[in-house]
Amino acid sequence: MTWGGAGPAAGEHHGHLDLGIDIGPVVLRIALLAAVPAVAGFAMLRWALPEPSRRAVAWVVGAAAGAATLELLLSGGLDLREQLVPVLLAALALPMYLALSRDPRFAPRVATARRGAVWVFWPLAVVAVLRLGAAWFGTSPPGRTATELHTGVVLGLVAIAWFGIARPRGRVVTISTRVGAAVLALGLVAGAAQAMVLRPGPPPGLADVQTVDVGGAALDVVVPNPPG
Amino acid sequence: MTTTAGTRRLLGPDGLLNTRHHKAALMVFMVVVVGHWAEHLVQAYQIYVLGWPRPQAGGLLGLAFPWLVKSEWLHYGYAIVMLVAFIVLRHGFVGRGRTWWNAAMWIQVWHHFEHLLLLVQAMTGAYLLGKPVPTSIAQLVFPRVELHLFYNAIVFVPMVVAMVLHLRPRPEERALMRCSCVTPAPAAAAA
Repeated sequence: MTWGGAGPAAGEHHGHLDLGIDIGPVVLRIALLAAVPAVAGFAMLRWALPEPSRRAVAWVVGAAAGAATLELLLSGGLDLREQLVPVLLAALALPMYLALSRDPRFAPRVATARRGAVWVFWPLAVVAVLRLGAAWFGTSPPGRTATELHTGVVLGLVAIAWFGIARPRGRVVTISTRVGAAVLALGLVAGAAQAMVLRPGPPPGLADVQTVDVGGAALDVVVPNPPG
Repeated sequence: MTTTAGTRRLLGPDGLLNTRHHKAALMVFMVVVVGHWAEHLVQAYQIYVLGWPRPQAGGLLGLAFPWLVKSEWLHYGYAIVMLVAFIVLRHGFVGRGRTWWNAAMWIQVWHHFEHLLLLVQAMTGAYLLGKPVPTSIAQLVFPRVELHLFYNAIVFVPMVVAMVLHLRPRPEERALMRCSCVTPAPAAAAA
């Protein structure tokens, strides 16, 4: 539903202006900091748990999808092309379908997809860990720490969603995947927590002002901060 | 959910809304959906034919209640009402009609999610990927003004197809129908 009736900006923001309520982003941060440990806990304890039920897997995948969506709202931007974001959301929706599907017509394909899920998990997990490592060990550009952390957390959540539905063949693959997921889960908890407490920058579109030392004199400098 | 004691349930496959009152419920739903479309068409007419500035082009409701059409609650409310109707009334459909109805329902699930995301952004001030205004997911890919008009279209088309197929069932589908939409088979009617 759309009403482009909100002035020149209507085309930009769907014409939604008035709500009358502003609860702030704190509730989103709390929800994120509840969802990420839940997802991470599943990944860390998977080796010790019996085969999870269909409903349990759906809850984990749903929590990962919810947490990733919250990250998109709270991050202020990711170090990814924006066009990839819908792809990531689709990559979160597909495990949900695979977890809940009961249609016998698709059962063989669902089983194949769940066996191959580790090959989605591993590349995402590696990239996520690299992003988190770049934030922690200083290889990310200055001022990009929070963005790297948010990017790593989002990719890691997608990876864990695929881990949740994975039914790999072979003992080595199964054990290595569970170990990898546990390591990633630890990184997720740490990365999400750090990203949430980092001082946020100015909202995109608003120029920042910083004070620099020029020959012993303090000088205020306007720093451009274009949106997008 | 049930009606008064001694009567049948309202919801579910055997509920009144999917049996005795299915036809009436579908008609009410259709009136709501067509009314919504009419508002969109009026708004498009105001913008593209009459050349009104967008702030003034709020359809018919917007002329009387400009605050209403600018409220996020109205947009979200309509999305959730549609989704509930799709879910509640789906049991009355069988065969091909059910397939098309389910397709419309799942598209509406996504459409509803987009509106929920916009509502949350408007409530919290935390905008998607740091955008300066509330932004839906599809807007990241499609630069658009009429994206949600498109959403309504791709929900509406399978919904209408489902209803048409529901009213023109094949014999095997007719045998499965238990709702008030079912009519006597042509041969039986002729006899």
